Amino acid sequence: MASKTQRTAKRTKKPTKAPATKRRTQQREPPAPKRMPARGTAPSSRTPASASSPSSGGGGAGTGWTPDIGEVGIRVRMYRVGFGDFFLISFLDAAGKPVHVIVDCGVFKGTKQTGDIHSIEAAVANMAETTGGRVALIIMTHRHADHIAGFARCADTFKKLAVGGVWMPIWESEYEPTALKFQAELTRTAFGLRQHFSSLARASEEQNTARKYMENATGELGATGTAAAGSNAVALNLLKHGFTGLNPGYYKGGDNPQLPKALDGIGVSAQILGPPPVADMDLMKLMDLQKNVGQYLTGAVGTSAGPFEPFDSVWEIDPTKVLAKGQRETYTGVSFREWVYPRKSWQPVKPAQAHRARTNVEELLLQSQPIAALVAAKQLNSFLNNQSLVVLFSFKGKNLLFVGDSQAGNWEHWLFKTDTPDKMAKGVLDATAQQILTNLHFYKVGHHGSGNATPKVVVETMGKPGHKFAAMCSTQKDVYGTEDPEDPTKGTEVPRIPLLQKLASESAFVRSDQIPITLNGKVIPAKVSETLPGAFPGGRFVKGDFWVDCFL
Amino acid sequence: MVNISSSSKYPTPVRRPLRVFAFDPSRGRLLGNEMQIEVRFRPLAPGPIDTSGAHDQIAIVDYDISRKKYYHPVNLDDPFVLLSNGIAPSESDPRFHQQMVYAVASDTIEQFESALGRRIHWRRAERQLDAKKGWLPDDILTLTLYPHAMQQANAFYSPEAHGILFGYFQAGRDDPGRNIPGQTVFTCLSHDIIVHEMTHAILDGLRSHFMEQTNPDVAAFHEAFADLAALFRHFTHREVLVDAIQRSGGRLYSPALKGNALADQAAQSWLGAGEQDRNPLIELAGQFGEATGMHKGLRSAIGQPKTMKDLQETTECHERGSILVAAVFDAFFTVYLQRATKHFRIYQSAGGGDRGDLPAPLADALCHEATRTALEFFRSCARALDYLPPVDVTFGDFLRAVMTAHRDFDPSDDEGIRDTWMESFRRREILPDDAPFFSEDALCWPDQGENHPIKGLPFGGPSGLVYAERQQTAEGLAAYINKPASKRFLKLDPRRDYRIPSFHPLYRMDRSGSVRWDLVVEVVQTAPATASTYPMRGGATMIVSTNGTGDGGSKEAVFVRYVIAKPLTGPEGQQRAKRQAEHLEDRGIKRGGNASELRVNFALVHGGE
Repeated sequence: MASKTQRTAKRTKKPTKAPATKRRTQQREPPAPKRMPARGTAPSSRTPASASSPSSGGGGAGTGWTPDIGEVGIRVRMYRVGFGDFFLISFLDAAGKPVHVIVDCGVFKGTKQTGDIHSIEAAVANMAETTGGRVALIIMTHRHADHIAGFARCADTFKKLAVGGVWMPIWESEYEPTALKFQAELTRTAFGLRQHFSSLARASEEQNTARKYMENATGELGATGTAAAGSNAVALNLLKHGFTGLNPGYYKGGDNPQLPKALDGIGVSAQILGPPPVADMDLMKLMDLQKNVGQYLTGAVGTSAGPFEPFDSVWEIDPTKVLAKGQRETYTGVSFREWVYPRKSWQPVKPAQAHRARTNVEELLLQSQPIAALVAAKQLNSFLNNQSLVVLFSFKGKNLLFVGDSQAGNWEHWLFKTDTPDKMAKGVLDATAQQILTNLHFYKVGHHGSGNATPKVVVETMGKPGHKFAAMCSTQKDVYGTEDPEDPTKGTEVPRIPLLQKLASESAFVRSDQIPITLNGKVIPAKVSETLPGAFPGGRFVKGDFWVDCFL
Repeated sequence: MVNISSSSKYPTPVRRPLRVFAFDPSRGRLLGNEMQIEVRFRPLAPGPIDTSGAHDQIAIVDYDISRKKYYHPVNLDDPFVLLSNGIAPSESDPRFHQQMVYAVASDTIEQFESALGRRIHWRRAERQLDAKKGWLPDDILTLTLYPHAMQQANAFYSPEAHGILFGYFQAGRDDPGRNIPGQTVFTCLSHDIIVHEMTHAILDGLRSHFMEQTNPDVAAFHEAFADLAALFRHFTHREVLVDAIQRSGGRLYSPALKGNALADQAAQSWLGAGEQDRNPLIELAGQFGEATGMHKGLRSAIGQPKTMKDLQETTECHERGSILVAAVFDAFFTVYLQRATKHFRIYQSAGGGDRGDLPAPLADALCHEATRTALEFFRSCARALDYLPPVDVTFGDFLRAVMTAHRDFDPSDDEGIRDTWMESFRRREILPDDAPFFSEDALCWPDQGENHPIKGLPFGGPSGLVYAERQQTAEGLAAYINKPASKRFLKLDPRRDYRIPSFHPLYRMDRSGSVRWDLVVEVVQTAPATASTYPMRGGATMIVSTNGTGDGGSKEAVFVRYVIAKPLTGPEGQQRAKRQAEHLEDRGIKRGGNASELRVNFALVHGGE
């Protein structure tokens, strides 16, 4: 790829300035003609820390950086987009020119509407500038808005890119009938549920939560509000058909992916670890290790088509209608006695009381409904997460793991080499998996740090004594409620604090919402106060304008 | 005119016969799937709604939340309906659904009442000791059952809705099992599901803190108990039972029934074509399970033999519950086989051939044994409920309660039934954490003899305590518990208030035929949470007893016989606090909440099954 980068690069300022084979050690090359990567970002926002760092910002496709001692020339850039994933990986070729890979580009406002901080447009612009319009590979881990919304929102920018390859999970394949049928059904269900929740007069917190889950699965609606118009559909269409002459690769765990030449040529290799094959529906349905609120999607799908008539309409009656004398068969006041206040069960129920009681109980029953619908919504959500493409990159002896939003079933398939889901995750770690985890140098924390997406055994194995790896978690605090997995109103705790604490103790760890960013002159403060670890054995973190770079 | 009788009125009937499905509609009319239940006669309004005016009744209201429609209520007093013992089973007539829900629910209540020896009541709101009299909105007086509450593959007991919501849904299109693809499946037509959900409601009324998940066993116990109630009901379905006995060669536990004598082959091919022949007796809710894509019944009673490791690692409440169900059924089948063996011996000594198809009289005798044994076991389980601690129950507590209740009922135990219980629990490593040894003596709650007399308690009559007697009992109990010595004895925390959520007199006939009076009292204390701790409940179940009521000369006839305590303080309390904190931590529950927030949400537990 390095050989064909220059011409299309928008900027030609420094293409020849690449340090080539020169390996400077402590002294990093000060990128003298520094330019701000994206419009709208004030140069003054640059912190002293990053000023002394290499050109972590702009630069055309040919602009590389000088790896520090112990580094091999990998940069993983995590953009702070809010609640979502947008990663840019760059590998330096022998000439010191970077070859770029995009892993996901999405953001979602989440259940509390606070997830989207509207920085993704600037991030995409920076990506375009950094890559000089040439991207060797785009990976879409799965079709949730928080991983693909950016492809739709910035479609114009993406369309202009010269892309060498697109990888998607097997579930997106149009040659896989089961997958195709299932995705269609899933989308239909998601829309059905979403409509169901929207049509309720008074939306409770649970209903809102469920609706948001579904919005993540469908994307933002267009004017017509149909499935085809959802922003996810736009993104998928772009990735599948938007790059002329390019057919995406659809992969599952164990597949041998077709690596774009630019990556292959410089010695990057990639292994696909997940998702499980389409046939392993059981694994795909295993979404969650502990909560286990039912694993059977079929019932949920059955409810999606909207209400159907269970009986002939002659059996429907209106209890408010006064019946002819002598006719007994309707619900009388006594039917609703339980809801008559004050509760004096020995007194007869007056018609007005009965009417009030009946209205009360109807409302109460309606309130009790969304809980179960929320279960269905959660199931769909997790199912999509389990479709995540899991990719392990290796470059010059360093291994980088990107797991998307994989939940239990996806993990277990490659961790334990099993086809049988196990809620307790008590399988024996497969030797290969063990090998992979203990030799990891970079881990993209699954599912924005959610507790359901990084099994304990993984953290324990990765964090073997004396081994320090880097972990990046793209997340935004207070987007998905923080408590009690048993309680639907509160959703999952994302990110899960104990998990992040454990990771932070085992690795050099950074989360995207710990860096304050300035966008169009407006400061978006950090959500948590953490210090950036800086250098660690074999690599370092460097803060950028609205991203963090991890050099390896 | 001559008046030939003292009254022209007809006598009030005692029973009302009603037709129901023995299992669920998927079994068609084969194999005695239709049965008749004789429920207690009650005056009914269309619904049916019990209009007797008594508390703790049930009402059927057929409101569909998904469609915002009411369905025509059945009038069980219509002469045509009366003439035909209720409406004939039909999937397309909602009135039959209402009838079935009413009949099975009433029958379940009756089963529990006869086992417990008293009337049951529904959940009551939490009251302090000095609470004002009168009903609170959270008291459930009438449990309302909604046969077609929603279009969902779900059915659940909801204390908030004061009732049980049964869902209905369309069977999966790809993998509907024995249902037609897309066929409507009604959870309210599954005998098992009705019994299961009713049992949740009954158990919640008996022990209001058993829904608070303070350890992994609590929710599992609720599930297991509900499954047990449903399963034991199957053994009263005579026609099916005879068929199952004949086809399983007398061994009821075989999960796959033989089509013929080729036993091994049948077992081998069970996964294939033989699926039709799964043993209906030990499968719960067949149609529901099949329609949602699970090929076995909802929860099969006899699973893999479980080991200690499994019990430690299984936290999902249905799976954990199934370990308890399997243990109880293991004991049940052992006792049944002991009893059946006698018949086999007689049959064989009279020249009967080896096991194969059993002759009708033998099958009949075996059927009788199975029914009798099942009823005994159900009653042992139900009676044990009164011997459980008021909070934080574990499977081990249940074993101890069963042992104690059984010993009270049948001290001599000629058939060694208590040994069987112990053996089957030991095999699954369900061990009480506080019993010193695994022996009958050590497992039964310690009998306190007559050392702790309690005064001023009226005995009441077999139909319960009248209002004045209830007041007198409450005062007597409070006077007793307020004494510092009693608090020490009951292991209560003297610094905290206590509540008495319930007390029940029991009038039971023991095996020897004499009447036994006991009073079961729950005493509960609550330690509220601080910012860094979880709320915690403690307390004790007191079983007050007497040696005889007729002897006026006995000066201290009433005494506290058993104290089944879960203290808040002391080493036991600390250990419990630790275990509870670990469990709640595991489940991601926030510290500093309210104790009632620990309640299990059955809408989620059963959802999507």
